Amino acid sequence: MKSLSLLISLVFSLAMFSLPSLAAPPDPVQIESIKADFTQEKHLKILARPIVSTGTFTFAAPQSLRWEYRTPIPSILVMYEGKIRKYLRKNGEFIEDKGMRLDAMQVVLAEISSWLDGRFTENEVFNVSFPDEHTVLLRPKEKSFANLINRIELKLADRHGLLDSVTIFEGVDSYTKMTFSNRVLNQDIPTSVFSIQ
Amino acid sequence: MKKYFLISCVLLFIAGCATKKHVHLPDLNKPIASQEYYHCGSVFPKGEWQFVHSIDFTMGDGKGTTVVGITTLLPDRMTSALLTVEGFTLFEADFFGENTFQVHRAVPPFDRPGFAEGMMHDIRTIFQPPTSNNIERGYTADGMATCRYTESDGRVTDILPNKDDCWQITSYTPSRIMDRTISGRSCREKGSTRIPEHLVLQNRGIPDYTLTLTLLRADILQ
Repeated sequence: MKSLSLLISLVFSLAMFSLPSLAAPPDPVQIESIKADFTQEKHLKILARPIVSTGTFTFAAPQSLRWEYRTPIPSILVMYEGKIRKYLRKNGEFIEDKGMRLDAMQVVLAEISSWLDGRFTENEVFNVSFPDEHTVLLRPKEKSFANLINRIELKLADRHGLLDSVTIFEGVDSYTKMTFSNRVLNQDIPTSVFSIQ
Repeated sequence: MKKYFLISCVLLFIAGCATKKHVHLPDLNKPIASQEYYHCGSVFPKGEWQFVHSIDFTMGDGKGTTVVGITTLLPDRMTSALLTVEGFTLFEADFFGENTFQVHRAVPPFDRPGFAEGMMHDIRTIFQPPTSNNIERGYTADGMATCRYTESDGRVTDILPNKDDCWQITSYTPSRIMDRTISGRSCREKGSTRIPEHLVLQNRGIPDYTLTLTLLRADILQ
């Protein structure tokens, strides 16, 4: 379950980070906050058609994140002041899901901080390569982790520091693709967004 | 003396709470309607199907989580996968006849011994009719039409095709004690199959757990 937690947090982190250290434009955008919609497609060999999920994510520097699925299963993952919590909607209200162990996420948060500081290539978890100017490939260094994730492909938007999509390949026929839209950069985000009452 | 009586009462009360009350196999009365009334076959999907459910898993102590379940029914096998809400694959396996299976992926804790067998058992109970040819039809004391399948080892499965607005499957140990119920709710007809919008599987044995399935989609594959 630790690996799972690691993966989940990784997914969330990848979706929001900026890439100021990559080659290309010399004047990186300073990311204070990002708000965006996302559409997620889960592809699996046994699936007759992909499972499509939709939602929104909100990030505020340095380490606050709200990742919310609206369909098909409403859930929220919130990261605030170093703590990560997951909520699932049951009987009309969001209840904290304590079935998931999230301790490994603390480790990944350090990674996130590095990326946001522009130390993306110093990553200890992944080998990083750049097949072209709009693509970043991450391959796990540890074999045990590679058994869970084969690779992660990031597609960069034209605007520096933003992502068009993240695709996580679990195996040959299994991958999850998240595509981002309606991105809003550096708007004020109230801290209440990162707490579930 | 009063004090000891009080303590004894409290102890008995606690013991009563700790042990789940056994429910025994009810008697069946003779059929009162035609064979068509006992349309127990409509409970189980015919042909090739794929179901995607949201699954709330709750242990007896109230702990649990929610996952996405994919079940595909094919002529030669059933395939199943469990995903996190975020889309990460936790478990994927093929289940064949004769209780054989092949696990393709199992992330801890879904790699524990017995998990795949338990899952196969759950899926078979929900989606496949009992294999026994020893079938008795009748109605229960509360008037529910019932098809009763008795296996050679003494296990009994009752199928109630008209329970509430859908159906119910109840299984009993060879000692005739209820060990599992599957209750369909809000059935909708798709061909000759009645597909529940909601399913609740309650395992009354060990481990004590409840699965609450909400249908996200049902696809006929052919």
